[in-house]
Amino acid sequence: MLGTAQLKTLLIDELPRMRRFAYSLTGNKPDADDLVQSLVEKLLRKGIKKDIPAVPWFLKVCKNLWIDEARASQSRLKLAQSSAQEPTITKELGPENDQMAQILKAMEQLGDEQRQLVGLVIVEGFSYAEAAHTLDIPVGTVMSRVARARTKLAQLLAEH
Amino acid sequence: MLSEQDHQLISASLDGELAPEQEMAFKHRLLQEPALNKQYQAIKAMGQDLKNTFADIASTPVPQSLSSLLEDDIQVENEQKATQNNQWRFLALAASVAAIGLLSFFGLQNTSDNQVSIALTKALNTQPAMQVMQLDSNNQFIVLQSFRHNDGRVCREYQISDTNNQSHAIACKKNQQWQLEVTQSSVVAEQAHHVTASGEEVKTIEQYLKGAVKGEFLTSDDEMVQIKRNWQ
Repeated sequence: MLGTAQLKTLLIDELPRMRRFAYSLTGNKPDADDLVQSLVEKLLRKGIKKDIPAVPWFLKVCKNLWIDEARASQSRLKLAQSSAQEPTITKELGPENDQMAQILKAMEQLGDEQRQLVGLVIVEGFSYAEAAHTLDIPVGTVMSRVARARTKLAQLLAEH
Repeated sequence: MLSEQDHQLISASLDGELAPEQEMAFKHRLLQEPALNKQYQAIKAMGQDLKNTFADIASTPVPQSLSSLLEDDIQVENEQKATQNNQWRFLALAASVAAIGLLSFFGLQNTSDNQVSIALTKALNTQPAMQVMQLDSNNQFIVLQSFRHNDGRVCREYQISDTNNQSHAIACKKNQQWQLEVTQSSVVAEQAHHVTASGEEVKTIEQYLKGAVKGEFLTSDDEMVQIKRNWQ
């Protein structure tokens, strides 16, 4: 296992990337930082093997935590709705201008896997092979899903 | 209306995932198909907008609860980054001093107009691929693609054209000068509305590329990094 000091150094190096990726998944900054907080806590608690490529592993764990959190949120929302209470969502959204707001809105229209691929390939510059490895899907699937995500985003943004 | 395959080609090209031969064929299609080129430019611009949007989280301070997990290390890291920034500033200054002696190579390309020569050097240094620009009142310039040569140099394949002629060439940068590697001139067909290349011309350039390209062509992101570094 990687030593704690080494792991912390890696996490510091990759903190900007992890925040960007988390933001691409959650669509708002406070949730993104909450997600990265959970990620860092988990990685420090569980550690990481020396022979594992660190960055893809960080983002894979990040993606899994986001899926878990999204499921939990869905359950909480259903519970709130079933008890006939208005959901009180007071999250501070982060877009600083109209274009960013439109991009975040368009991203919401993508499926989870498309959003993950946009984050990995378009925002973070992962190769298709790296993205395929990170998400456990075939390279050909990455290629077609990234293309479809781009086309859909372009259409959505053109409508505004 | 573009096909799904065209959308995949655009996407794979932007991600640097096409094989050199596929990339070459695709770039030539871009020159000949305005609708494809328009979509390519739109998708490319959108990619940059996406990056800018999510990079904006850096403008928000790291929450205390998160930074406290890594607090001591962040302080050390910031000090290291400050040192690195000072080193980069020094290197940038050194490069700018050396660039004063930069000479144009354009005379090698059968052009006597020194004004164009200087403009071409500037265009090669600053122009992203697949964007047409006017070099002067007569000449149009476009970079088709950029790549790293087997010997480590960065190189750019480009075309220059006026209403009657076009030159298709590859130049590589060495010792802060663009050096012409291979060039072919041809007459542009009268009915053509934009730059086109003859089959023979492409073959010669392709032969050069096959022997010279190391691994992959540069992606648009790689190009932007090189442009910022002045291709050093």
